[in-house]
Amino acid sequence: MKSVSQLRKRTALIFLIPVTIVLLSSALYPLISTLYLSLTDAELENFLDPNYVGFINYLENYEGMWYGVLADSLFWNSVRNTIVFSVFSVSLEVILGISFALIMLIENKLKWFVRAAVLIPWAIPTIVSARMFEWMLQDQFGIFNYILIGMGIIEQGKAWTTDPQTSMIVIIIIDAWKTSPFVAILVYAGLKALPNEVLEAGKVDGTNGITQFYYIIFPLILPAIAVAIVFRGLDALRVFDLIYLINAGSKDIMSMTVYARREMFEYSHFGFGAAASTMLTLIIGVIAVIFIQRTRLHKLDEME
Amino acid sequence: MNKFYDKIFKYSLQMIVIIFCVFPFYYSVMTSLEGSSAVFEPNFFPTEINPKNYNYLLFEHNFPQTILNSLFVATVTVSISITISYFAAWSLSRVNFKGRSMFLFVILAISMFPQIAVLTGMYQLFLNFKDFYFNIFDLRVKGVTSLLWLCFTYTMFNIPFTVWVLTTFMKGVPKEIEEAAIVDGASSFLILRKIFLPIMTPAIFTTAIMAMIAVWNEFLFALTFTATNSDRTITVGIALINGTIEYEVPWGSIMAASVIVTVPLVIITLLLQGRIMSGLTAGSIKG
Repeated sequence: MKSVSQLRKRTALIFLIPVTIVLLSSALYPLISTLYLSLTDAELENFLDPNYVGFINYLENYEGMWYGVLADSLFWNSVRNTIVFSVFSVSLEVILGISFALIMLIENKLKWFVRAAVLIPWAIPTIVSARMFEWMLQDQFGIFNYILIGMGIIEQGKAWTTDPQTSMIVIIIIDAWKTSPFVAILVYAGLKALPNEVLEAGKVDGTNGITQFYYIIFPLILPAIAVAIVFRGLDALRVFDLIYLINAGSKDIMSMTVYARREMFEYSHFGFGAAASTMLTLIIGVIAVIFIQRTRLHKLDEME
Repeated sequence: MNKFYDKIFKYSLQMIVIIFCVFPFYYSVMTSLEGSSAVFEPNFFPTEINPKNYNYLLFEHNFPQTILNSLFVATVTVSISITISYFAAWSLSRVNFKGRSMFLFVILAISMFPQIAVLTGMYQLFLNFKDFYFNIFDLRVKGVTSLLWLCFTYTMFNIPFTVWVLTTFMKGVPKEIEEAAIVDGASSFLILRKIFLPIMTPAIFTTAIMAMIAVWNEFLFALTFTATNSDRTITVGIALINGTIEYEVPWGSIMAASVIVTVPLVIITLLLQGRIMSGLTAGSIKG
């Protein structure tokens, strides 16, 4: 006779079959076929039946000139943009997120409103937040320029989103607006999990707020912050919609995803685009492994 | 006196956060309610209330169609992924078997995958799917090909997330509740239906809402796999609202469209504030 636990194990494995099928077909199959396509000459005409060409989409020396993704300065430019975007937006989000979380802890009549307000940017689609900020920052009729002119800081409206010098800053700010709440909620949950004595301890000693935060609270919520950085960081590295929407035409601020997609769907260079997205996957994969190892996220399961 | 200043200081910090988070939304609601001339005069409070932008979108534009498309895709996707994930979550949270941590780790890794990594492969599959689909069904239903494909891809991308969150929630259910039923000889399926379902309903609901918001907001796949006015989803729909004259951007209509798709989300989020917060936390830090 089979024991109950054996029976449960068997049922458990049966219940996992649909998920396994989905994961294999969603991750493994398209990943492998993308990998294969990156080694072919796939264009629009022969997309379903391309020829194997080796690594020439990555790098090729033809009559003394270098070709391929790795020789394309635009690609490296997009790598740089992606890293700049990720580092600055995630840093800004962590700073804002921690500040918001601390403000969310304040117990008074506004408490509910603060917690409600913080969720609003999170719920708004990226496309909508992009358009909202574009409108507020518009050069002729935007409220932002209107305020700045009113305060006498500038004399005439500036096109913040289309000017290559400021568009990256604008994109980072929109991203920070949209996702700081996520960091705030994680940190807030981390703070809530602390025993009340910890939060009270500093007050009795008469230390000021900042010292108390830095020496007592900060080390304790570091795990929550690390998790937020991992999730946000990996999300930021694959950024597409904001950059595509705010400045679709500009080569200056293109991210890696925008670069790869442009090769595929605007120029129909599917093989070349596949090579670019494989490079992106490799870069993100390496960063993800380092992140997960460092923060020991994979050990969380055993910690219970 | 010191206490008084402390109070004022705290209130002002809170007001800064509220204004920072709400102002862009408030401003777009205001813009959307103004007629064409008032839109182009910057101000903090509406000078007139004019439903023109909403009338245009709802009656003269194919915007209602994009809303229906998004609703269709979101409903199908969320129902399928929640059902599959519910059973998987039970296996991953209540049963000890070899390779369980490994399975969870793979799911976490896949949820961090860049979508672009599979886009080319997905597109090739899409073309094959289209061929296959056209051979089976007749012309009348061709219009929904892209939407069905979106349901398929979104289900795939939602599942790591829904499995992860539901597993975390299910871990929180006390063991004793299940043990009593096991002693009575109830099958796993019966336990999941009769015992877990009532306890898990709020968690399932929260997860479903979050998955729905993710589908509602998706852009890259929607942009790639939809091609005609009749099969666009709301994100692509808004991205493509353009003026009749080049360089004249219809900000009033864009803001009205933004408000239409955002208001339901904002209301749901506010109503379920506490639940969504715990769901977001469960998605990242485990229990």
